[in-house]
Amino acid sequence: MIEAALDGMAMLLSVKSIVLMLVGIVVGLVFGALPGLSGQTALAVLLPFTLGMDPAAAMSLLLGAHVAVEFGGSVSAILINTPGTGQAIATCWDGYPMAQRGEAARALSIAATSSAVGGLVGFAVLVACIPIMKRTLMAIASPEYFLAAFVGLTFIVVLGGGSLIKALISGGLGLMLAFVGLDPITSVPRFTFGQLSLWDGISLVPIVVGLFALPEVAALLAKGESIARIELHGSQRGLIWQGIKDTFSHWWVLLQCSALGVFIGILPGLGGTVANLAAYGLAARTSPERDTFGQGAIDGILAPESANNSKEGGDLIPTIALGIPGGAGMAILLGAFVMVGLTPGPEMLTTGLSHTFAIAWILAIANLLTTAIGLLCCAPIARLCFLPVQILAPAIMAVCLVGAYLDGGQIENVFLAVGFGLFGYLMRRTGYPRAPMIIGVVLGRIVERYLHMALKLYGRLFFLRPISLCLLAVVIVTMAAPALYARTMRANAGAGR
Amino acid sequence: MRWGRHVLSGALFLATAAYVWLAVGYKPTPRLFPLAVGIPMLVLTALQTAIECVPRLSTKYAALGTVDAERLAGKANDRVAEDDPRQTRKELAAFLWLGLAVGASMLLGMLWGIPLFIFIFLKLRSATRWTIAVGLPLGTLGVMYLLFVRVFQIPLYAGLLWE
Repeated sequence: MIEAALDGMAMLLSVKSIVLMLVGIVVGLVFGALPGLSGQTALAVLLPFTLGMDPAAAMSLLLGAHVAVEFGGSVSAILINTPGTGQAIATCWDGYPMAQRGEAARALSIAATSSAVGGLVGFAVLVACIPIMKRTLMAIASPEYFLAAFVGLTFIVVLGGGSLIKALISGGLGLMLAFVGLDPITSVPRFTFGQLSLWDGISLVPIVVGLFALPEVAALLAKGESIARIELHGSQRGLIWQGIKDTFSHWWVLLQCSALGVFIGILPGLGGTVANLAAYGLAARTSPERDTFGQGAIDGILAPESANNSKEGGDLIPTIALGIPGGAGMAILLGAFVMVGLTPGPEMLTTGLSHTFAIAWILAIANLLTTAIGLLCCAPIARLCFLPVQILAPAIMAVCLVGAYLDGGQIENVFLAVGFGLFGYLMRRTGYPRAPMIIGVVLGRIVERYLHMALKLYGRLFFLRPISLCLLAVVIVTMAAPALYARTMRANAGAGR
Repeated sequence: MRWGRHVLSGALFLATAAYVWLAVGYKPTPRLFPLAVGIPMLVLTALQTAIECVPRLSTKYAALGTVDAERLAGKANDRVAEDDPRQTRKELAAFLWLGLAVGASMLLGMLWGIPLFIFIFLKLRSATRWTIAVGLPLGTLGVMYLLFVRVFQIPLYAGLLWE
């Protein structure tokens, strides 16, 4: 095995592979930063260029882009409250408030550093899992997918804010939107009103752009301020260094969320958005600074960012071992594997083991290079936050509208984004939390699909499988914890009086 | 924005009722989840509407906000903005500008409509200098052309006038 690991490394030690990886990273950063241009689009654009390349060079290009998209998505999330990709939604919630405090460079630095750590954790798990990959994956099935997604749904309460009823309504609205489109089992169109464009459901990008970015632009324009509300004290370089230190001083949350990201990555179909939201929800519950979540908390940035990148390592496990792609991006990578002559499945764990290690090394190196580039670019990018909003606002509006259109290439999405923008504005003004709605939209379809599958395959007692029982225990603890916490707080307050 | 709370809660109740009514018309499998979510939502939106309309209820049900949730109040920039009619008017005006951007994109296509919108915004709303008002839209046009047309060949909406 060590020999295969060294062979894998040797495959990458060429100028061609490193240059292609850098090209992939730059393309990934651009695609990630522009809302609507997802990682899948980046891979689809790059895929034709890999024809005729050797496997290591092709994978360097594609995986480089795939990894860099994650950090690229967090750049726009932090600067303009618009996640460049679905995987950066939760990064907005604390990244943008930190940017408003004049500390965008620090937020970007935290995102870059935690992405690197997450990516390295994913790499470590991927390598550690190689000997046991196939057997482990066969133990996970639809009941576990359903329960894992259900755990995510319980975070609706955590991310709710002041009123529990409003949080539940917001989460419920998200779920209701998730059921628009073809029913996953019977393919019956639901709530489509005869519109063909709704058969695939409502895209996430117009919802996120509408709910988060557009109301924020409106508020900024009304106040006439720049994104950063206060003057910057100290140098940008100092803030970047501070961000790196912040990340490592919160090592427990970092490791916890990286591990969660890997776990979600291993489960095909859940995707990076789930990892991002679940990690944020977990940190909002366990972090020592949970009181400051939503106001620019360090853990609120590093939790989703580390989970995003560690997920890639987890994603590769079913892709390599079983040929089952973990997500849409991995499906394109799977196609690329076949195009360059690699056959995912048992062969990758025996005769093709050196290629498997090469892929793992690319994952690690691409993460480190992305972080290095990210840290170098933090300072100039962060200066955008100090531009007058009168100049920045039309540019942000343009990015939002183009982003909404590019996601699916439908002009209807632009109208949806504006509609959700007005709705998000009303929610903001009337105290309805917006984060639970996103959780509902993301998890609704997953929960529905896997519950139907679990019921069909395992019957009503599907949750009695060993891993399912563990997840069920997590669901119960997650749901009971707030009530128990509230009771303890009331008891303490009573004792204090 | 007190009236807004009443209107939004009531509208959500009506929308949920319509959703449930539509869901009832589907066969058992497709309607299972929409009804499982829709019916509790109907109860919640009705309760919220009642809380907004009857002040006595709002104090009674305030306990439904758990301590955990109260501690996390303000999450995701969701602090309720202060009621200032001038501020509200300015915010709504921003959506009119957004409408202009959509209109320009629909008519002229995104490649030409977006830079034109930026120019009009910078000149009329922001009253910036000509160098910025012309330079920024031209820069945007250049970046969009290079990125979407030349390098990645991703088609942008062409516009009703050119189609």
